[in-house]
Amino acid sequence: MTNENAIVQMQGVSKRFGKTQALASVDLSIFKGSIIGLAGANGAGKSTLLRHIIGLYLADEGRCTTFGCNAAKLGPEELGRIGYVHQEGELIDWMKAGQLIRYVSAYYPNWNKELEAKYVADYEISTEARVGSLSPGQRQKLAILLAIGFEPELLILDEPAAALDPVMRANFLDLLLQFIQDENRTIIISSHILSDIEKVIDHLVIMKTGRILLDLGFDELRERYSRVRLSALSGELPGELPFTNVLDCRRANGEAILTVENCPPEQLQQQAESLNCRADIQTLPLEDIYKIVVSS
Amino acid sequence: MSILSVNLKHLYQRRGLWLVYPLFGIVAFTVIKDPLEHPRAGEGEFIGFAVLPFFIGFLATLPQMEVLSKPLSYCLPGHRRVCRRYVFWTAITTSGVCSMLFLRYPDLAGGPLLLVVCSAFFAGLTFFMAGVLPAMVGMNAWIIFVIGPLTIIAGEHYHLNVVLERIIMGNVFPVVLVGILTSIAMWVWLGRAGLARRYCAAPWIGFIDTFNMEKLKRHTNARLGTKRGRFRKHPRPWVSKWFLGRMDKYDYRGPGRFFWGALYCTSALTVSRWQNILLFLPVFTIMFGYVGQATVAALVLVPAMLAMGRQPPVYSTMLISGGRRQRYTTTLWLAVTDAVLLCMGTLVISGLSILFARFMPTFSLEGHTLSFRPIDPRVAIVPLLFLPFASTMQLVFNRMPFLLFGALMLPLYVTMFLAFGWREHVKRLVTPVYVVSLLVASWGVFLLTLRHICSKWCLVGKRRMH
Repeated sequence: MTNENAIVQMQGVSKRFGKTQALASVDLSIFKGSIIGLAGANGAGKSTLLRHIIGLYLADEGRCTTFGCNAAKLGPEELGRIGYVHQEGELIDWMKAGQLIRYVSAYYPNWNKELEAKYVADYEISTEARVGSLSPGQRQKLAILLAIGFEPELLILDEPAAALDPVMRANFLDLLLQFIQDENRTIIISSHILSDIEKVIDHLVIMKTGRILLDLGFDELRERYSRVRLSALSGELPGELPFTNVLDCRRANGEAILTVENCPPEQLQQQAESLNCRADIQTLPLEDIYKIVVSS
Repeated sequence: MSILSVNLKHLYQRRGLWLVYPLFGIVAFTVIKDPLEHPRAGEGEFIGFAVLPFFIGFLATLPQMEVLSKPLSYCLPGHRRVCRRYVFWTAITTSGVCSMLFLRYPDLAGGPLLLVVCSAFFAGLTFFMAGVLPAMVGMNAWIIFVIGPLTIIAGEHYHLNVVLERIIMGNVFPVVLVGILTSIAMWVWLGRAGLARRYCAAPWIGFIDTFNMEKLKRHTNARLGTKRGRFRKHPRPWVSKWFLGRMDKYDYRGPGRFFWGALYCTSALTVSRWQNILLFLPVFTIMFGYVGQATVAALVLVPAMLAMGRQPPVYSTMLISGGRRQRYTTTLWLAVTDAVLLCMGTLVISGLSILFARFMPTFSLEGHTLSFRPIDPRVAIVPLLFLPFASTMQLVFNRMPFLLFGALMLPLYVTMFLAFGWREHVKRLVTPVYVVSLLVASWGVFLLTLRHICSKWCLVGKRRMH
């Protein structure tokens, strides 16, 4: 894909708040039809990056364009194609949930009332309840409804599932998968709950102290890192294991567990056979990949 | 250590009160300086017997409210009754000390002096309890910064200090009786079994809490969540429908839709209480008509309250389809609308005051008359002048409530200062050219600030400036 097809493009974007470098020369392109996971520790710059995309923050240096428009100049036409669930969960507290839905829907010509009704019923949103009196989980569900009700082309979710219980989180992930059925849609999801986002994303961006450490397709990423459990078919394991790109090696009870990078499974299998060992090769869960990338 | 001692220690342990003590020190110094140095009879110099117990009553009750509103205090052994002991202990001490001021009263000795000191003591008790009441009933401690200046203005205007001094001197037994009855009533009220339960975990905003955005938000949410709250049925469905109808009249991308949307967010609750507005107009007319020049201070206060009480659309984190340009125009037009509505409201009050002046009675008290005077319609310019100032402060100090409060209270205190000391100079300065220049300057600064923020600042988050 060429960068011309990107719906979001960031080139050398830097942002500083006082002494804190929130973003440092970030280059990022986001293409249509994908679910991008954004991972990073607290203060890594995830929310700052997302806020640049919708023009709530302005870059000190560099350039950010969304739907081909300078993010600082986004207007109703472009913002009408973007849904955003924000970390702070700021809503209009004095309104009733139903009133808030009607109010927000008034800004979007393509508001889908059927989707709204379905979501209200499925997620048990009490439209008569005062927004200010809703539980954090209920607020989060309402915020999600407000962001998807007009079926945006770009859905930005900043810690959307933090307040949801496990069952609701699973339902929410299903909702994202349904939403992405339309290939024109794109989702960017920032979350600390990596076990959740790994079920849905097809692209991952890992950030640390304002920099992008990794920006890769998720399938490619999973192929890059493997975990191999080696057990000798007869006798003991050799003292030295001639594997390349080993990130970690642990031995216990006559077995060795290796974490390797950029080693195809066939190659690993062949090497294990040459050592007269059995190799169980597994892909790494996202949480482990994240730890490796961040610690390296 | 007794429970009472532990509670009294809050007066120095609560660091938030340290901010108030210097202010209190100035007030105390002002009211006791003259009677101690050059005591003069009948000139209202001995007002300290009333002012100091009132403020001490208010301030001393705040830590009690803080403790009572914490759920843990409900279960502390013997704690439920300590509030009453605490209030009366401080009340008797304060009134006792303050009534000693009258020992310096000229040409008074023996029995009559004793009677006057006794009268001042019971009057002090009454004022102390009058200070306790707003601290316990008002759910936001900062109310004193609104009540305080207005009381001082009204007091100065009607020479209440002289009136009160004469009442103490000439009506010893009624004053003592009122003091005893007030104390009994407060004793019973503070001793009720349900008092601790009423305040346990109640949403209450103390002095320093006003600058704690998270707590303020929790407080508002808790109040909105109560089933029996005043806002239970608000906003009225017809109000929502009307505003949404107005929005629908404009194009999805047009500024009209965003303006009506913002107006809906900021004023639907007020419009829902339209009966209150109709009721307030004559009430304010009567109050301003009798209070006179305090009208100007109150008109400065309204834009300040608007600025403190709501979030400007420019900083909304709830993403709707409006960009920076829409946030700019919406915030600007909202400020213009507010200014025009406040100006119109003032004109209506002024018109009503001219009407009321025909039949409102004149009262006399201790040689002073309270007469109703029509309000000059020219004061309607005040909200037009101060609203852009308050809005500018709101934009700049939006995430710094402490500074915002200081910046907004500044014009109120400046107005008071000008009204007291520089009245004649100010009258000479207030020419049409001067007022128009000030009007252009205040709106110009607001416009430039808003434009700068919309084009350069981060619009959400804790740190917005570059």
